[in-house]
Amino acid sequence: MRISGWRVDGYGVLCDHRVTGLPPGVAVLLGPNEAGKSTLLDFVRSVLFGFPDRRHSQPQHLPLAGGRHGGALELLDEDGQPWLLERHGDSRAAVLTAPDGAAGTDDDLRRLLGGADVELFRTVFAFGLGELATLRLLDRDEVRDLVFSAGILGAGRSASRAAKVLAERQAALVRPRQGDATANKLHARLAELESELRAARAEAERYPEHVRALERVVSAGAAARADAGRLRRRAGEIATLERSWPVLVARNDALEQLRALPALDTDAAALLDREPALQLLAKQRSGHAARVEQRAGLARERAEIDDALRRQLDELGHSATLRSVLDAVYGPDERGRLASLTRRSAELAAKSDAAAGHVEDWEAERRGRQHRLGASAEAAAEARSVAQLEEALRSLAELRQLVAERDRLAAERSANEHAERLARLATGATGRSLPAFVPTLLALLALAVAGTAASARRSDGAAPTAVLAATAAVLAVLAVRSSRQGRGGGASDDGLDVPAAGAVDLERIVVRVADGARAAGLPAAPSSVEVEAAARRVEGALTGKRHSEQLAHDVEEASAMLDEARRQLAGLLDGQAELAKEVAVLGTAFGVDCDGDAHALADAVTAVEEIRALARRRASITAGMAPLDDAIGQFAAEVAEVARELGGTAGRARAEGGPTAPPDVLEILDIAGRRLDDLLAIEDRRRSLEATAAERDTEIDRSLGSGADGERLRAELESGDVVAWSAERVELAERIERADATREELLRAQHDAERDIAQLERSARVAELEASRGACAAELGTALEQYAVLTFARSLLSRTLALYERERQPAVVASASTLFAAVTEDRYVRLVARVDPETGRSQGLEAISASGARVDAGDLSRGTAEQLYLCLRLALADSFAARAAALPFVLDDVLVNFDPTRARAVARVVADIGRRHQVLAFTCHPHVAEMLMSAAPDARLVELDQSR
Amino acid sequence: MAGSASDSDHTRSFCFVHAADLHLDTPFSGIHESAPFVAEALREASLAALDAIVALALERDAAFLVVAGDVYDGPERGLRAQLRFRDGLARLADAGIASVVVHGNHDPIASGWSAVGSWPDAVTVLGHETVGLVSIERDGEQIATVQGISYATRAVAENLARRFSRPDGPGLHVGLLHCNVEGAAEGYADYSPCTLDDLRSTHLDYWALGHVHQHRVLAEGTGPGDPWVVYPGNSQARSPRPSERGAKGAVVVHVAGGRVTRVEHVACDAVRFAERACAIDGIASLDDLEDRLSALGEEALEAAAGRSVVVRARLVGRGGLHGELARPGVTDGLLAHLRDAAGHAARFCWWDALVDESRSGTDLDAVRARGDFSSDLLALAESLAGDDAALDALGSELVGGVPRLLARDVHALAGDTDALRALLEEATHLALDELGAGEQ
Repeated sequence: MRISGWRVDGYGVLCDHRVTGLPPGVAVLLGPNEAGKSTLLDFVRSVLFGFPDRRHSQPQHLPLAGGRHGGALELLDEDGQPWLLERHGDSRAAVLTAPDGAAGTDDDLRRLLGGADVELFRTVFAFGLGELATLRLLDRDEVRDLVFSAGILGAGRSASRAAKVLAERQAALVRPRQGDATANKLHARLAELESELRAARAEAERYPEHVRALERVVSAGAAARADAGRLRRRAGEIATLERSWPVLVARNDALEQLRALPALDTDAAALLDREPALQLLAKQRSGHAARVEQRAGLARERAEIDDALRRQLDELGHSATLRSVLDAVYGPDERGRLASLTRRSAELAAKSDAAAGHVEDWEAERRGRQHRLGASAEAAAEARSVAQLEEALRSLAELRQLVAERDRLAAERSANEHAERLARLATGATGRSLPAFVPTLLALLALAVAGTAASARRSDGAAPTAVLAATAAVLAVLAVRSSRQGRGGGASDDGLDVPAAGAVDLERIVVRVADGARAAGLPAAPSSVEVEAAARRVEGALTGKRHSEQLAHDVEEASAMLDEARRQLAGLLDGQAELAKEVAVLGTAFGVDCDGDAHALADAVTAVEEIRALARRRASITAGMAPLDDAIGQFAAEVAEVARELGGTAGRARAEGGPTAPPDVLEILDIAGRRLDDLLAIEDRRRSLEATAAERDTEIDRSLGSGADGERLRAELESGDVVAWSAERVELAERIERADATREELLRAQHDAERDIAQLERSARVAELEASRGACAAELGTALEQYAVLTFARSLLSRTLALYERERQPAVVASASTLFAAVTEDRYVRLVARVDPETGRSQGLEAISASGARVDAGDLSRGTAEQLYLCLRLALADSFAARAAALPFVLDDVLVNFDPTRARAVARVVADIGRRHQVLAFTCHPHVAEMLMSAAPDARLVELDQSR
Repeated sequence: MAGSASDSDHTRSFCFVHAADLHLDTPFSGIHESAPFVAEALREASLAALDAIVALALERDAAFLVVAGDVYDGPERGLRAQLRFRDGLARLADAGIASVVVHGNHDPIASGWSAVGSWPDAVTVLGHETVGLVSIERDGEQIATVQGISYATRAVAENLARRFSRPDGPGLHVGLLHCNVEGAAEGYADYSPCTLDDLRSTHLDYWALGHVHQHRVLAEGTGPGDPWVVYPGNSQARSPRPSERGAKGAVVVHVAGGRVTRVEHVACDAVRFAERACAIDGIASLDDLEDRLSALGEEALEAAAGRSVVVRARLVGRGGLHGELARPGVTDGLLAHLRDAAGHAARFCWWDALVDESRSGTDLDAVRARGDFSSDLLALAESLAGDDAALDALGSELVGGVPRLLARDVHALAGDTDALRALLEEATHLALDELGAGEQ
């Protein structure tokens, strides 16, 4: 079989790389470093025999430049028929195509390869410098075995190497002496486990013993617990005795104090028996005191009423007694009459008083008026009447005007007279008028008549009065008329009406002034001042005159009024007298001497009613005092009863109260109460002591318990041997401590025993150890079986090696000797296998030089040794070709380490081999390629492109 | 002699539980070191099986329980096993279920020790001197009589079955014995050997046997006096051996009308063993092999009917993968992978071992034809395998090559010619493989 070409789809750096038309002999494939020569070598191996498993350390050559991982080889069989063998990494299975295009089988491929496997091919047919170098490093035995085994088995690893590997595995399993080999360790572990198992089983079998021991410990523990309990109980008793002892002492003290308390005498007992009654009285005490105080208040009030009654009766008169007053008739009619009389009397009295007042007033008024009238007459001394005075005043007024006119005219005449004074002498005029006194006289007459009328009215003369009044009125009218007549008549005659002619007028005016002055009592030619002064005097006289007249009138009027008042008073006094008689009659009916005085009667009646009210109040008080007296009396009686029943106690109470002390109920009660309190205090103390003693007894009984033990302890307590108790307590404490220690120790022992038993019951230790022992024994059995297999395999290898060395070695060695002599150009003429004389087994190769010197293969130089191994492979290949198939050699720069002479020699040998086998020689050295091409002229040079 | 049946025999129906070979709290033989949770499960398995049997009797309201020997694995009688057994029977006694126990060759009654001070009244442990009888009553009526005898020592050569005979008395008559019935099964020590005829000649109604670990119904009785002969098998498998595979438990014997009507085997085991052969032919990588093994593990777990399973795989066949498997540590690594992948579930599939019985793809015929070194080696190996004397010599060579402390362990191996032959065959393949391993 030979390779005519290939197609690399993707393998390492190669991608879509094709080579075709490779010759049947030598083909030199020249390429620089990294052109892919070694990759191509692996590619050929992979396609022929399969890709290395991913678990292997060999390179997978995954495509680095793309393409499907793998490719195809074009093969030619012995008959020159073309086959195509494809293999890819993704499917790994080879696809063989027969010359007729049919699918080839595994047998077809095996036949093409002559039955060689990848190891044979790698070792003998397709190798590089590295594999030669590796062979160089093998030890002598392995070189020997490689020669023999490779030459004969046609497989890779040497038998010795295989045996060594097996021996190493054997040593890992079993070693002659104790060591860390698997079986040794397992055996030791097994022994340990069995020992532990025996111990564990022995411990398990002690289970009943543990149970019995536990029972013993439990029993002893119970006894110790009982002993400790007994001691604790006694210690408890001692503690109880010691605790109860002070209680017993207190109880005895209480009893002693009881005995020392005074005994109760009869009185005390009686007093104590009456305690509830006394307590009740004591509760009623405040009520009693209040009642006594209330009654005293009532008594005081009644006494005051008695005093008031006495005073009231005395005021009513000697004849009046309380009985008479109370018995007097006071009917409604009488009361009505009294009221009426009293009212009328009051009215009459008031009127009389008023009338008397009026009389007095008018008397005083009249006196006053008379006095003022007298004073006024004396002061005015004016004889003229008012009308006269008024007339005189009017005359003076006219005179004033005339004077003024005269003065004016005089002035004018003076002014004119100065020129004409002489021409015109003053001439005077005459006139006539009513005398001026007439009106005044009439007025005075009127006043007199009026006064007379007034006086007549006071004297109750109705008819004369009316006549006088009418006369006065007529006179008054006449006076006024006359006055007016005088003034009116005179006015037309006044100087005012003097003709303007100065002299005439003046004269007439002077005349008139003189007339007037005369009438006025003035000089004939009065000055205006004089006129004015005369006017003022007249006016003053008039005023005084008028006042006097009014006063006189008033006097008359007052007299009249006085008279009327006196008359009215007299009437009223008469009414009063009549009324007094009725009053007197009624007073007699009332039993009161009132001298006809209604008011006195009324006052007496009022006094009687007061007396009656007091009497009623007194009766009420008397009635209110009765129940108080009853209650007080009852309380006093009860206290007296208690006091009487208490006898001695009461006597003592009285004695305590002193001989002069009054037998006051409350005091008696207080004394008895204090005595009772004393007795009760004693009794309380007695009861307290008795209770204390009883409580102590109860406490002691409770502490000591009942039954026989209680009685025993009571007796022991009564003994009061405190010192002995203390000593026993100390001793018991020590014994309890010891008992507790024993008990705790037993409890611990019980706990330990229970724990041990529980552990034994739960323990899977025996089962674990048995399982471990079983597993260990199984592991040991497996290890020993493996050891046996290894031992037998080694034995088979050893025996077969010996057989082969004896029978097969010479032919291959002889063929290799020829090739080696050619390569070394007869420096080494022969190869000889060294044989152990005892075992007959080969012990390596020796090279015999031309001089006959024997050189052990292991001592050859590297290059010579590689030439030796190359020759051995070529011899083996020939041997394989003779028996199976001539497979192509694929050499990867194996000539590098050879010197030029040896290299050329090797090239010639390779060229010679090329006549029997296809040789694919990869090199990166052009001189090597040239050398091979020179040695094999028919060789084809294939240049590999680095760029691929 | 057929027993006479009372009227009530024809009307009363009941069942009882027949168990044997409990081997309580004993190790599993041939099991390699396992993870703690697996080791614990394996340790507890026999005890759990006992509990399951007790629960079965309670659940079925069994009239009584018979245990036909080998309660314990050895005279050492683990304490835990004894207490667990006592507690289980006490639970039955509390429920009014009587128990009758005999001892077998693994736990002879005259050997060992007992942690049990006293048994409940309803429990009868029959002695070894005479065949003891126990009457079983229900509701005041005798429904069965159990007779049996224990082994005094481990090796009992006497045919104890001949001491049995049908007594007078109503109810079902049950014989309780640990024995090896001729032809029942291979590979069992011939203790108290007997034949089926020996058992039939007693005219009992039911033979409750122990010793054989597979469930076997050797005879189905036709009526009173013609006995059923039954091995219930052991309650829990103890090793990966073929006899220990499959469901393990006890039988429920159904009785009606004074005769056994049906024997029902009920699985009571907690862990089962399985062995699976895995051919490497066509498997290209260890990854693929692991996938294949995982599938086999799941299949074994599925077949274990809810139990955990301990699986041992035999790698067989030929293929390039053999070389990989032969490399040191490869199968161990693969085993570790499988164990890790199985996880720690309560119901687990534990890979106990991978036994590499695979061969390389080397064509031995081709090797033989080559006439080369390997041909010579193969010829030599085949020559040795066919020569017992040569095998013995190899065995001696093997014993001589190990240190003295291991000699005893190897000696048993060296004395087994068949084992040596198998080992030699494996060694031949190993040698050929090693020669072909090359520079890998």
